[in-house]
Amino acid sequence: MDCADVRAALVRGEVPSGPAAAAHLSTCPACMTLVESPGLVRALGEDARPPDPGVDALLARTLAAVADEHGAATKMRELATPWRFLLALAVAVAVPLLVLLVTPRPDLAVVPRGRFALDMFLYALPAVAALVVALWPMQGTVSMHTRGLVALCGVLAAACVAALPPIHASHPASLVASAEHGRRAIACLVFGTLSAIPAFVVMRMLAREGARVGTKAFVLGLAAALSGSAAVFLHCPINHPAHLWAGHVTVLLPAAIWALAHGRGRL
Amino acid sequence: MADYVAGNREAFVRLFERWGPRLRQMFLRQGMRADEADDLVQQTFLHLHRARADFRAGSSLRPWAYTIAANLRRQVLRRRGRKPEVGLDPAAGEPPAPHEDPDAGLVGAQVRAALARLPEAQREVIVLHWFEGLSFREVAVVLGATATAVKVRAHRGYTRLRAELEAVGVTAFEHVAYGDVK
Repeated sequence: MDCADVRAALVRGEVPSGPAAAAHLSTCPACMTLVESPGLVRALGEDARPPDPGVDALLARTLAAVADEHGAATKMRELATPWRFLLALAVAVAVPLLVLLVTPRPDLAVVPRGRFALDMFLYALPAVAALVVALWPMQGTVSMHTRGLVALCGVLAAACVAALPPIHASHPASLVASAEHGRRAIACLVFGTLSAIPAFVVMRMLAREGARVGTKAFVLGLAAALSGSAAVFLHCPINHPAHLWAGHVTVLLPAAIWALAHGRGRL
Repeated sequence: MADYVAGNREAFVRLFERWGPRLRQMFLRQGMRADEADDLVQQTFLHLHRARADFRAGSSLRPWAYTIAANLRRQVLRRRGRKPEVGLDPAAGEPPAPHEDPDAGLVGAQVRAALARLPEAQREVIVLHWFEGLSFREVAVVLGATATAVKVRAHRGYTRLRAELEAVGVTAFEHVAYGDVK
């Protein structure tokens, strides 16, 4: 006997009995409460009326809303979830890859391979996690805690890349005069934000519920921002910590501002 | 649902006729206003429509529908930033005092009012378990919690509901009715 059997017996007006029922009730306080509360069970039964079948107007409204679902964005979000995920991942990878092929950092040859792999891993892992969470379908549940944890990991990963010791100090392109720091940081922030836009646009089209909740919007923006940060990392040779904090980590800020405004219903 | 995924538009109407009224009643029982319940039913079916490519033939639609409904309802509650409203919808309103209207619907109204006073976490478990007939395991899947956590919430919720109903005199009313029948 299990909880469903206990409920079925109570709905029929019977009290579950026998060794199997006793064994289950001794381990299930929820069922025990119901069995010990015949008055409650009767009262709950009083409210078990059949639902009102008169929903024709609502059906018509719903059919009209379904008929309104057309266009490229609609087709994209109606794709099966694995395809939505792969499409978003492809765009998130394509932009940094394009940057690496077209405008790679000039010091790439002297960047230690191990460190290069570590930094890329720090961008990629939370980006993929954020992407999965942001595109998770509504018929599954992702808790606020999970979303919050993924968001925190993404921010920490980007901060870690900036906090690690400089990759090297052996390339002239990596050295910048102090007076240049501000200008170069703004340039990197703009470059990273622009690089994040393609992934952001595609992910917004692929997200079925339009990311109306603040944390969900942030996770979606974060995945795109990490793609943009990776693009900056593959483009910019400057290793100075101040530059990394001011120009690379800040690429996450537009995502946070967008999520904040979105969560408050301003967008 | 499999028929609808295969392209049969009429299947959507059949799905709505089967699940729409039931979901609407569930939303009302969970303390949503009638207009909110209608919006949530519409949104639930819109999301079912969008997610149809994810549906695998042979699987059950029930956990899908309830999970989407629960997630949408949570979004509405989060957006409006307060507890579910009660008293605006006649079906979820405050019941009359027992001595004023001892009709058959009285206990049902008192149950709805007592349900509305429960904490959100307990109410959603009781509505899904008792009124919608989901097993605790299914409730856990719908709410994204463990079965153990759901059972604890149910135990606390049923205990509190019993106390609430005793406090408003449902037990006394039943005793009277039982004596009348005898």
